[in-house]
Amino acid sequence: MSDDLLERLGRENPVPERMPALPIGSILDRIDDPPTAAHAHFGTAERTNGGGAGGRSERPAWRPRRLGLLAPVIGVAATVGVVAVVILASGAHHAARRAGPRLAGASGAQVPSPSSLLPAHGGMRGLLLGASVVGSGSTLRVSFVQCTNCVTTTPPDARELNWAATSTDRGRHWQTERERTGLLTSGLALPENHDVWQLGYAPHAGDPGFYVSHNSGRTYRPVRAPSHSGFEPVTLGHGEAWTLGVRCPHYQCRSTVLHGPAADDTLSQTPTQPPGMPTHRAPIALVVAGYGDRAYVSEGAQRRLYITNDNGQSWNQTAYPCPARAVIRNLSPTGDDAVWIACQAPLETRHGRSSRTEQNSPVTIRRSEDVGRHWQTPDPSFHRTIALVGVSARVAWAESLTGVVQRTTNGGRSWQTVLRGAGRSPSLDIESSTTATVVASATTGTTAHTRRTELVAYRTTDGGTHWTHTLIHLPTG
Amino acid sequence: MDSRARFEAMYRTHGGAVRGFVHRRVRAAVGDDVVADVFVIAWRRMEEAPSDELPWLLGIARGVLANRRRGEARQNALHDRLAASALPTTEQEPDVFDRESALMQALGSLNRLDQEVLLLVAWDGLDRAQAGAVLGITSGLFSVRLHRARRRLRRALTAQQDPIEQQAGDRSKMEAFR
Repeated sequence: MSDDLLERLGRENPVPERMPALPIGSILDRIDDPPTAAHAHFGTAERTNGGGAGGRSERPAWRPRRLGLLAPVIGVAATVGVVAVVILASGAHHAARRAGPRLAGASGAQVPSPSSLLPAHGGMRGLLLGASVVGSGSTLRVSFVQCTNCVTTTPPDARELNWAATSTDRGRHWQTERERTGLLTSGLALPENHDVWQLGYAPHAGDPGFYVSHNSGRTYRPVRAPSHSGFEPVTLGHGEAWTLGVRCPHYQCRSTVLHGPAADDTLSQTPTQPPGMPTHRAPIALVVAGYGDRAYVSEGAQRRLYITNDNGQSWNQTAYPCPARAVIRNLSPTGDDAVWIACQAPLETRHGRSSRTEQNSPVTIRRSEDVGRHWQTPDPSFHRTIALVGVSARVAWAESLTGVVQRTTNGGRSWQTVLRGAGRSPSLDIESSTTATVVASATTGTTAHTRRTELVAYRTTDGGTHWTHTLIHLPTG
Repeated sequence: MDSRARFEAMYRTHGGAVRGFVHRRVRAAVGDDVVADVFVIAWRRMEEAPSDELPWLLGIARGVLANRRRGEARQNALHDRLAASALPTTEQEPDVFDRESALMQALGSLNRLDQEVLLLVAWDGLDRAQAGAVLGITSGLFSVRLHRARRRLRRALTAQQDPIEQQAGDRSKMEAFR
């Protein structure tokens, strides 16, 4: 009676012909980790936190067969759970409205907070300042300053010591040691050749400059570079180092773009400089980021963005991509022709303190797939982003001031929260589209003498679905 | 063949079919995201993949689509609760059965399982065994369900075209029971 019915139904098929598959690269972007092996635990002191964005955790093999009798109970529990989720989501939504624009994707792995992991009698004396993590290959390095007798600022009798914690097995074990050179390693960077190579900033060693270590930080030697009174942190990409130097002869400052092969221990001025580089001592939102021969230099006061594709032989100005009153805060070029930027209103200082309004101003993330010629605003609903790292045209990571880490795998059309609970302003290092490390600190004690601090490293190798955590175990002295 | 090579071969063979399956059921703007999700899950479960991979992949796709529908239903319910607030509205998933054809209207009046049974054959071109594997049932059971779904579709179509006659038919059936 009814094969004719199926034939008629077939004629209503909205996609009757065979569709071509998507480029496989768009799928492999998301699955750079091996199946299941990515969830292997590290060491014995670690636990895995499942249930990340998308909830793609492995289903236990026993579940389909043994669920039968438990189904009604689970059904009731699930209903209660759904009601609770709706109520919580409602509360969270109102809280989000009070705080500002929403964070995309309200799920994400809730990791144990750093303070809950603090051992009863462990931790390093004092406060830890400026902990930052960088990784390359199997090596991770955290640099931080131990500040004893510190309260919230740095009083005259405070004592600062520079430390570095290094892991050479992807975060499983850590070794902490004093930075023997006294380098203040802001602008820490590791190149891609798996050699531990570090750029540091030495404020007490005469002229500030960059220093490089080829032996895990045991000894340093200065990077050959034109004399400057200040530098911006280096960006390393595809074997090339890019940075900015500031020189102030005769009360007139000048910023210059510096560049060199990462393996050469040398930085030199590019053959030409972008026109109209600022002459202020503290230029507004002057940012440089490079990847290989290509680099971007943005300047906020005049709202200019320059691009070089030939190691600084020539510079082309392109339209400034940020909305009115906002400037480029983060600039992250990727290996293809893509570049990601985060725009935010500049901080305005009043009596030496940043305006809360400006700090809280929303962030607009923009992306270009064609070296800055055209820009898209994939998702404007960001808030207080402090780090944005593009991995490819489709994959990027962003971190907010509150320590929430988000990730997109579709060019920014949607963002998923992949980590929350690591405390405020943890340090984020992105190694690939699926691998990231977050280092956060926890402090106990209320006075300068009783205060103890510990570092916790959270690491994912599957794009944030699962996170492991490791206590770095700082010396107690 | 290692997992990676097998996955890539599977993607080359079935990527288009899975994409077509998904795009027949959701709007184009989100279809490719769903396809990507399907293959991410497939990658994680490669060890479970049977030799006939297409029904297995389509089964995963059904799960992803169902999750998506449930998520949207929850979101819509939340929207209703927060009607006074300024939560941004999500774009409603257009129902493929909203089209004007009487046949599609009749199909839309069936339950979701009947719809799926019919579409796996009529749109996705699967045979009974494959379609049964997508739904996790035997080919024999699938044949029974297909037979019943066709009968319900025929009845719904008839009711739509001649509702008075259908009501009369229903009345005569009821009288026959008395």
